Amino acid sequence: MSADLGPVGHAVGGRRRWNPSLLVGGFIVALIAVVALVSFVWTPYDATLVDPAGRLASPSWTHWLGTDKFGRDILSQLMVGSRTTLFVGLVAVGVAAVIGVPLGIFAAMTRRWSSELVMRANDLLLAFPALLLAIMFGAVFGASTTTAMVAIGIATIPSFVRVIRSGGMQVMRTEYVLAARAAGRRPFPIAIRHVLPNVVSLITVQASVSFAIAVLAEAALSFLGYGTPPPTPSWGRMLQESQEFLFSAPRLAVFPGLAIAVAVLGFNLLGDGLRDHFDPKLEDRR
Amino acid sequence: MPELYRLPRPTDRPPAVDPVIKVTDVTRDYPRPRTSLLKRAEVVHALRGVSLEVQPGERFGIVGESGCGKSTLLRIIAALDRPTSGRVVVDGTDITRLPERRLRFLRENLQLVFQDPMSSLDPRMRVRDIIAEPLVVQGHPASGARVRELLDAVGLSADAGDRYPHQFSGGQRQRISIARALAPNPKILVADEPVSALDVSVRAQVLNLISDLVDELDLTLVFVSHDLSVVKHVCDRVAVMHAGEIVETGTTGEVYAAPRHPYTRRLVAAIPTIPKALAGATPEDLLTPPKGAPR
Repeated sequence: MSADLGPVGHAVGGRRRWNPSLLVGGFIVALIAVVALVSFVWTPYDATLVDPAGRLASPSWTHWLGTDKFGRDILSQLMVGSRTTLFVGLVAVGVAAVIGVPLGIFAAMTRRWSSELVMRANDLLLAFPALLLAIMFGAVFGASTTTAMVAIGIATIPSFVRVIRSGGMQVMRTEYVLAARAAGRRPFPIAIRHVLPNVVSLITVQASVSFAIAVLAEAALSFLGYGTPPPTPSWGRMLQESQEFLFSAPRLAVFPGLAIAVAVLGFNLLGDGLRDHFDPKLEDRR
Repeated sequence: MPELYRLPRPTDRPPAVDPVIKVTDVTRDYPRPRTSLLKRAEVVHALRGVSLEVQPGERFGIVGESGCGKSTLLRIIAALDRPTSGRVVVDGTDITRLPERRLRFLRENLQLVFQDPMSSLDPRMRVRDIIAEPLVVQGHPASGARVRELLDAVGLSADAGDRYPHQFSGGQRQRISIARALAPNPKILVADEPVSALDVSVRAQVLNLISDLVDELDLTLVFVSHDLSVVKHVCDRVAVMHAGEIVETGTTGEVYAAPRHPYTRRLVAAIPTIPKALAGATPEDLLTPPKGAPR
């Protein structure tokens, strides 16, 4: 047997370079998560406490971000609202991933009409505007956070199916799948052991981007009155309630608007960062 | 290697042995995607009536240029693809129309080594799981001892099992690939251009490894390459493929010394050698067909 070539391998260990968008995105998302957690145990005021005497107060030491037309503390509302935001994002992305990923892998692994069927049904759903679907759901099942989450989740399925299918097809073309078939692996174990682990990075990226879209959609739905009903604080509804004071007290719109923008930015940056992080081309350059 | 283990060579083999692989008149057509609503989709004829026989213990080479149908033929022999028509008999069983659940004997007895060491190992699996995969699938006890034994057989250290494929060089990955192929104790090893993607410096090592293991384990080898000199180094008998057909079959010596088909003559003439290089031959000279051979 011929001797082997010295020490095996190079660049041992999995240390990857952290890119800035991953860092910043991760920081923003972590911040929102911390704020949401803190809001369970402490907020400056009760977020739903109405104080007619102190309504429309400007930012001050007592109310850092001021109060709204009912005298509710804006900061407290934003903090509690971040819970809704995260919860909606998690459930919506969860629904989309749990349904979309298996469908995508199925479409990648089967050839003929079954794959076509999945993809055409997917196109049908993709052609349907997400907000319209959510409004329809709201009209049928009543406006609530749950309806909004599920509707946003369903509307997000097609993007998962498409991304996972294309990734899955790439995996199915590799020689290690051929080798697994030659060893006698059946399609289902191949899906679990080979395809799924190799599209995990795609799932992560897609999830964080979808999260951003879901946050925005929830805000839009609440703004339209089809999302979280009062009095539960929600960034979208805060924005909607600020409309009548847009000129007299623009800060009422600025703070929740800023919160939404920063959250969406955070998840998008995280998604971009994760994509770069998992990119095999960059991985090889490590 | 004791002479005892030497396999019967084609010259001294009794003629009445049943072939271990018998391919009869196999064709494979691939439909192209439709480009027009009115015209029918075009069809690519990847294989046009291929027949060959591989005897037990033989080292059978298939040469031909890229896209001539070599890999398609291998996939059909390994029942990873189905022929459009024709018959493939492996070890006495017609596998052409068998459903996957009745191919177990084939999955145990025929294993593959692939061309691209980058894509033939799952990047998310540890080497020991990669090597043990055929064992697990086929219900053999996948012990650590067996994996270490296989790693040792291909010249890798036992701790290689804990690492991931990207931590290895191309030649080392090809060794892992070979270890995986040998795991279920196959009788037939099918190698699809196993050294084409490797540096010239490690080619000989991997070729010798395959050659030694085939001898040691009494395997039948089907070896595909576009490189005649590689096939010459490893194989007893060779089939030359061109545009989906086998144009010439013979012992390696015969085909090299006296190629009959014009395409083979061109291939043999195009092998770069040191005397040719010393005589000042350029790549253009190698491409020029010898006298009497059509382009």
